Amino acid sequence: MRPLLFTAVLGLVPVAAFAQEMPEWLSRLSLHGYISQAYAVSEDHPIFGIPTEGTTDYRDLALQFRYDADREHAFVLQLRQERLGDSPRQRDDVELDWAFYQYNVSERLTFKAGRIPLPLGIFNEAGGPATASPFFRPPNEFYERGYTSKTVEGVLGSVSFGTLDAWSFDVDGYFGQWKVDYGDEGQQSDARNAWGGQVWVNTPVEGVRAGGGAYRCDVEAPYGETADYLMLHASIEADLERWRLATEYLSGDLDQWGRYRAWYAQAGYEVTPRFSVHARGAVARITALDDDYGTTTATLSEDLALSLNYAVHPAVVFKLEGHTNEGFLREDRPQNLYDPPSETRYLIASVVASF
Amino acid sequence: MLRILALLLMAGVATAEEWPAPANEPAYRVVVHVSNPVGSLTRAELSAIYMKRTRSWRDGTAILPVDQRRDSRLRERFSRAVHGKSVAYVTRYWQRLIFSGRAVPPRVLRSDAAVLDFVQRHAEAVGYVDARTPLNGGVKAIAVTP
Repeated sequence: MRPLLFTAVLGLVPVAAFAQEMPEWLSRLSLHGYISQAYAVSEDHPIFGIPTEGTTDYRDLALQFRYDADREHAFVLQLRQERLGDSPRQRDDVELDWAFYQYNVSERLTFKAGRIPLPLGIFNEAGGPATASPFFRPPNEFYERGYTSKTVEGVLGSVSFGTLDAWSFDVDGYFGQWKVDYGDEGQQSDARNAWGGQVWVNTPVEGVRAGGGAYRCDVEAPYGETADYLMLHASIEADLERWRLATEYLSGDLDQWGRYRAWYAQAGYEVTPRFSVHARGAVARITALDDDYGTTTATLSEDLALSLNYAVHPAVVFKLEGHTNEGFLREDRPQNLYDPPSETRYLIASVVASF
Repeated sequence: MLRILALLLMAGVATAEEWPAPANEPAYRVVVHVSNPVGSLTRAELSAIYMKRTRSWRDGTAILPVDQRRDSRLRERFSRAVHGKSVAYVTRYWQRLIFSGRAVPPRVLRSDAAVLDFVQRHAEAVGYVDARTPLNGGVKAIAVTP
C-alpha cells in the first residue's frame, strides 16, 4: 500500500504542473503538494524514530485540494502521510490532515470551520518540510505533539488590520478540540474545550514580525483526573533576503502533571541564491509532579543542529543536517528522569519538492 | 559526521555561483485587459496584487493576477524589480500560505503568449510579459511607477 501511494503521489507532480494551465472551468480548483524523502541514521541510540542502522522510511508528503467557489467561499482538503522510521508515534497510512470550509467576509476577515490547521507559532500552521523550514522538520521541542496539535476541529476566525507599508496585525482566535500524544507507545488523548488565539505584529521591514499567543484545553487523562492545560507561546522571526532568523518560546502549565517549557533559536545565511547554511539550538525542560517522588525538573532534550540546503530549483531543495542530542528521548528502552541523560548524534539527508 | 558536513560546506562555498546583477531597466511590461480603466500602478500596489494582499481593482471587481514560471528569468527580474525579493523568497512566502491553508498563489502560465491570451479573455486579469513581446489587440500595457 505504502509504496503504491508514494508512487502515485510522485506521479501526480507533473500532472499538477500542467494543471496550472487547465481549462477555464477548472481554474477554481488548485492542487498543491509536497514530498520530503529522507535517509536518517542515529549513532548511539534510536531517537525520533531514527534507528542506529539507518532508515529511508522517513518522509512526509501531502496533497492539497482547494476549491475557491467565488471570492467568499472556499473548500480545502489536505491528505498527508508522515513516516518517522521506527517511531512508536507515527501513523501507518494516509490521514485526512485538513478539511475545512472558509468564508471570506472581506479581504481582511475570514472564518473557517472543520478540521483546520492550528495557528501556533511560526511552523505549526504552515507545517511540513516544504515550507520555510531549513531542516527536515521544525524543532520537536517546541512543536512536541504531547503539548500542541497541528489542527483544531472547530472554528477559527482571522482578521488583519494595518497598512501594507507600515505596521500591521494578524489576529486569530479559535475554539474546538484536538488530540495530544501521551506515553511512549503512541497513545493519544482528547483535548477538549480548547480555545485560544494568536497575534502577529508585522513590522514595516518586510519579513520581520513578532507574535504571541495562548490556549487552554482539558486533556482527558488515561487515568486519574482531567488536566487543564494552559500554554503560552511567543515568536520572533526575520525572513530577510539572505538572513533567516527565528526564535520561539513555549511555556505550559500541565495542571497536576507539572510544567513544560521549550525554546529554540535558529539562524540561516544564504551564501548564494542556491546554497544556504543554517544552525539551530533547541531545549525542552520538564517539571514532573509525582506524589511518591516529589517534584523533578530535568532537561528533556537539548538538540544542536547544523543544516546545509541546496536548491536545484526554487521548489526543490536538498538538505543535509547533523544533530547532537542529549536528554531523555531514547526509544530503545524506558528512561526516567532520575537516570543520567543519554547522548547521540544523528544525521538526516533529505530532498523536498513542492508544487 | 561533522567532518562530512564541513566538507560539504566547503564544497558548497567553492561552487557558489555569483548573485545576479540588479536589473537597471525593467525587461518586462505589465499588461491588463484593454477595457481596464487603470493606466498605471505603483510598484507597491503591483507587489500587493501579486502577493494577494490586494484582491480588488478600484471599482471593486476581483483582480485575477497571472504569473510566469518560477524558473523563468523574466520572473526573476519581475520579482526583484517589483517585490525587491528573489523568486526563492517569494516561493517561501507562498509555500507558507499554501501549506497553512490560507491562500494560493497567482495562476502560473508557461509563456508570454499564454499570458496575453489569458488577459485578453479576462477583463479583470493582470499579467506581465517580456518587454520585447508584441501585444495583441485585446490587451494594453500599463505604467509601473516607483
